[in-house]
Amino acid sequence: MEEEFIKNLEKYCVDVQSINKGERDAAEKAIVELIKLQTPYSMCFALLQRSKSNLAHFYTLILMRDSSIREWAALEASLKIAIVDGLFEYMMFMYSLEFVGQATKNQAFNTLGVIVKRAWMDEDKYSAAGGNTLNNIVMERVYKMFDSGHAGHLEIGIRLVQALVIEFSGSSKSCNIQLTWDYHQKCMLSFQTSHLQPLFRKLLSLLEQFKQLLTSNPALRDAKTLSTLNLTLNIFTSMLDWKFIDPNRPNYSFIFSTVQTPLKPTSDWAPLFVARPSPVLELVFGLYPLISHFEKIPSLLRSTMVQLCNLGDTVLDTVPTKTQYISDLIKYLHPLLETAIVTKNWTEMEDISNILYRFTYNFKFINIAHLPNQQVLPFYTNIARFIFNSMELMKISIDHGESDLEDEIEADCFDILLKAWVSLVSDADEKSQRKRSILPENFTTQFETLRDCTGQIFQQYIQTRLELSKKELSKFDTLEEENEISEDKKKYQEQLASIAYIGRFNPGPSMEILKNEIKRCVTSLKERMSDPVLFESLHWLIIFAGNLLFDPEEKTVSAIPTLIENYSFSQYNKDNNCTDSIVELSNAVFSFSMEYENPLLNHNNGVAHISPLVSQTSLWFAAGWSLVYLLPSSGLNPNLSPSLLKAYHQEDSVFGICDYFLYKVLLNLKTWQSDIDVLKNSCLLLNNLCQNRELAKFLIKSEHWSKLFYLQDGLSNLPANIQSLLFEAFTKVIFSFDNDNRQKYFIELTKSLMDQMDTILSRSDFKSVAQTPQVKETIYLFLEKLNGITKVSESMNHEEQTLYLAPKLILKYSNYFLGLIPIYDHYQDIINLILSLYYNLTKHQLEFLTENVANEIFPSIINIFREVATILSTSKKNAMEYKDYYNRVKKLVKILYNFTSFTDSQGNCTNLINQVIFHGLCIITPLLTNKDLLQYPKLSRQFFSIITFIFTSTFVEVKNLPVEISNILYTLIDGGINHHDMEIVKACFECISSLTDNLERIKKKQNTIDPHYQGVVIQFMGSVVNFLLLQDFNVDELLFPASNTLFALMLSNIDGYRTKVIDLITRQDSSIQNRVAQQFETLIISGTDRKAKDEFLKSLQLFLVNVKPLLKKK
Amino acid sequence: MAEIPPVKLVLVGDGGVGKTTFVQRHISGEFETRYIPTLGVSVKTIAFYTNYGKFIFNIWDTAGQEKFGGLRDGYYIQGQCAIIMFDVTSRLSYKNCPNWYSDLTRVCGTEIPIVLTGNKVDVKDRKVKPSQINFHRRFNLSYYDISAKSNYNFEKPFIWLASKLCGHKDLALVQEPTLAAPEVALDKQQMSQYEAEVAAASAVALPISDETDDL
Repeated sequence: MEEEFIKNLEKYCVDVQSINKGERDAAEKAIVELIKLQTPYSMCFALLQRSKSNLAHFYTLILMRDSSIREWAALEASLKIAIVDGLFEYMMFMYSLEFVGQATKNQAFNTLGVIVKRAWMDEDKYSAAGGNTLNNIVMERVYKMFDSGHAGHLEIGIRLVQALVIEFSGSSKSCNIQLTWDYHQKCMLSFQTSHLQPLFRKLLSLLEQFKQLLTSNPALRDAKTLSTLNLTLNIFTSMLDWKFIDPNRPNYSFIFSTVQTPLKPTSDWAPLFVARPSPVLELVFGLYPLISHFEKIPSLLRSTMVQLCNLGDTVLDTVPTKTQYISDLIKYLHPLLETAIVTKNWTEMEDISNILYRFTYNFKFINIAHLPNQQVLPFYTNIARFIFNSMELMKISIDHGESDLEDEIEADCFDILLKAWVSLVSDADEKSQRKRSILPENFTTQFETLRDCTGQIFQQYIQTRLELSKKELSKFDTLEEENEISEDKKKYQEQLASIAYIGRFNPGPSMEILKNEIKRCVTSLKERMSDPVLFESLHWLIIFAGNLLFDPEEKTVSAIPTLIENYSFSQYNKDNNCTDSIVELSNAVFSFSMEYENPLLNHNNGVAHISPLVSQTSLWFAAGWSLVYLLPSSGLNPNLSPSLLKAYHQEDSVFGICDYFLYKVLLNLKTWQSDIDVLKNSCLLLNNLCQNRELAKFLIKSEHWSKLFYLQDGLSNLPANIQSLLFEAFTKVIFSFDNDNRQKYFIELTKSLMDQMDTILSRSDFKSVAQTPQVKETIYLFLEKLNGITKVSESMNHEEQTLYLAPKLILKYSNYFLGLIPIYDHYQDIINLILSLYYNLTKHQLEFLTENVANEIFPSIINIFREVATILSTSKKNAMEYKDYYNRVKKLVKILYNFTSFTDSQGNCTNLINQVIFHGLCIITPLLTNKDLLQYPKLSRQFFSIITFIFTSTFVEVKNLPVEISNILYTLIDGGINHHDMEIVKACFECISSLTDNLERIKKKQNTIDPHYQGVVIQFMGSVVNFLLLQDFNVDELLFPASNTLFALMLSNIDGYRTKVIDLITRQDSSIQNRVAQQFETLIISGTDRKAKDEFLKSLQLFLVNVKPLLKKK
Repeated sequence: MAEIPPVKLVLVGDGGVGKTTFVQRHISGEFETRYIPTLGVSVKTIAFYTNYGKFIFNIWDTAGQEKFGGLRDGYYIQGQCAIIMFDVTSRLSYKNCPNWYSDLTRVCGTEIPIVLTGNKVDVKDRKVKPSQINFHRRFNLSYYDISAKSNYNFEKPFIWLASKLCGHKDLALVQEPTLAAPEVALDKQQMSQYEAEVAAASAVALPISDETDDL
């Protein structure tokens, strides 16, 4: 048998390397079968002794690892120690086998590492090893290898430590151990407490020896030595990445944390970091100059430096300790910084940026301020110089045609440096604002230096960005304008946010620089019309001004940035007559349109001399600006200066600005019809103006408003999507009025719209003219406008009673829409717009819906569902594109999803909502399942969340669903718990729990057992037990919901549970049936409360560890 | 110009990050991409025509989800280069990259060229910002933002890997890459020839300048 095993594995492991699918699959299948063999260890060791195939050794080691993990709970202690001993022997022996490659050697360490972790909590004691547990036996051997003085043994020891650190720190995905995080955490804590520091010290001393070797022999190039140095340093760095657990307060938070966590060793590690001199700092920074000429080792060491800058308060627990440590770090970092400034090695610069970022982010300005000025001031100045240098390097890269490199330096060096600087500035600013806080003696001096450097960085940045854009422009000849505004803002989003913060730290000078630059550009543009360089500069300058004055991410009325607001206030207090800097900068931006763009737009062919890009950017500015500065809210801005109030709050000023903006929008809509992006940005400005309810009275007073409102001057010829945006804006204003005016203006807005539509729909020959372009266009335009109206929530825009103007309008046409669906079945755009209308209705109009209104509207929605479903299910095969089918179903799912996610805050029509979802679900389920649409994860998730909603609803009896639908749903849930998408699996567990609750509710209420629920629940009980015991699943994510579901099921029907268990046990090998049955006895429920649930979870975890390896899988 | 033997490229990363879509360069327009998890491994061949000759990558697209993992790290052996992929809209998939790296290098060694790629940069809601991506720095890996959906930077990781494998920094494409036909059944003779080429390729010392100071 052993011979056959060896022969087979030697063959299959070659075949599995094939790129031929058939051959590879057959080999893989065979290997998987071998992996499933029970206790294959003696055959494995036989292969390792006899075979001369490197690949066979490699796969055998993998096989041993996976089999041990699977069977560990069922193995006899004697076999366990035999496996471990055998692997140790192999490790000693494998270095003498020439055919064994490094991958196989590494696999041996990995196999042992994984097994040791699995055995870590074992309590078996081995008398032959002095009554020691397995983990102690292994660790004693590891220490012996380190102390042996034998180079070969030392290497094995180092590699074994590497494997153990990887396994215990959880940074390996190689072996799916299928144990809970609770187990991992226990192992991790135990390893951390007993072995991490002793091993770290051993590595430290080894690295010290390397340091001495390199000091005495700087020309050392011995490959073996350098290789061991690299390996040792690698483990050393991994240890500094260790996510330390506080033994007194262990928690799981770090497991799911996706941010870089500080290095927080336990207090017993303190001497390693904070002793004078610090052994770790001395080693790392002392070794660096000795190895800086090697290729890979320096980046490892710099990565270690990042962690050292990330040291947390567990070790730096007092102010003097922390100050001393920061001082030491600065002492080491300063020369690094100075060298990097001179050498301009971009790889090193990028790493140093990360080091500086960690340093400033971790220690903050306030802690550094405890250090003497003579140490800190040059350090800050040098960081600023380093930032200037990175900007210089960006320009050099562009000059050399290396735009990819420039992008990299910008993202990996410059942006990180800006973030580092912002960390200092934000802390300095925050601490300086605090009243009654005692600041360190040097705070003020260091603060002023920081401010000076910040000013220089801002100024230098503006110049650099303008120069870079000029250089790029000259490279590409023509301006690539398409979507450039959104491209620039997206690509540089983080950078612009940092630079805005840096600019706001010196608000006066920053605004002055931008104002002067913008003025210069506008003046020059008037002299050199259409100059692309000036356009490009203006585009950027306006983006900077916008980012400085407001947060571009805000989409609603928001506050002025505090530093800008305070500056404006103090500026007025200093001199009541001076012009406010905000006003001056804003005027400079607006001067582009007023002095350059508008005059040209008013002349024939003038548009040819305007850059659409700059027009879009200036509209973007006006739109963002209007949400913050036009009629600034005193509630949001406590320090509004009188100058600002005068400029932007006085009635005549506000009216003047509104009037101008409306004029601007109107002018653009009339003259920029060739550029859809400018039109969209003009509508964005209008929508932002209309969003502020306080501005409505000023807007409607303007003569330009009525031209816009009645679509005069050719505006009715604008593209339909633009008219939709206009109607959205008009509705916002209308919905801010009181009831009488709201109704009046709404009729005014929709009258011509309805007249036109009514005329067409009432034509007796409608069916015959329906396909003419003119009729289709009219219907299309009508639907677009209606969609614009429906996007605005009436209840959100006023405090009075809701009139349901939009829902009633849709209701008026709902029967027509039903009729339009079959007529325009082949015209996807119209169908899409009809469905979008209902999407917007359910998304924006349902808040505060009364039962009466709901009673009118909801049936119309279900009718639409029915009509769409009828068309979809009766359409001939391939008659409708699969994509169109998908899109329509997706819209239906989204509409239902809106119902499930909407809060019926008044509780007016909860029952009705549930009924709509109930009927909707019945309609959409066959549509999804008939065409395999559940393969699309986003669609599937929404669908399953609708199912969950219905199952958890107390208003709907799931058993009342039509049998054909309920059966499909039960099948979906049954299959869903084995789905690859965890959200869906969780949703299915929730559904099963809800069904169980329903059963319980009826049992309590009527004192009877509902046979329908009873049957379904028993069926699912088997599914949950199978899932837990026979499937591989993500234990971290799914054990908890599965445990809760099983808990509910067992509580509800313990007999049913037993039946399923017996069924499972009888399918097992007779030799293990008793053992499995005994384990099932341990799974008991002690009560019904949360505590009982938690206890059940724990016993289930243990149960799975013990039982799962024994069971026969399908 | 000498024929370059086919290269085994191992593609790893969490489930759902877009490995298969990337390899297949599946362009689905506005249509949501179907997610059918890879079972075990799927091998695709892609050829790149460069100024240093034709590079054939046999891409071993491995399963990201553990439950469909098949032989998992058993597929990595003899890998000559690798791509670790994460999804820029999923922080967790980025957090797991060091784990994939650790497994890869255990089997393939630290001397093989490895590229880190952040996929789905076309999605508006990016969660892993460029400045947060620094894992690759420690190990001198290269990094590229990519979009399998829009083909953004599709060829960049391959060009970098090819330039590292042949040791020519100025390697560039001379022709747009084309997808080879799906795996075809080769006859025994062809297979033996292929195996010999693979073996020859794995025996050739990789022309990386700092090979000696690493393991």
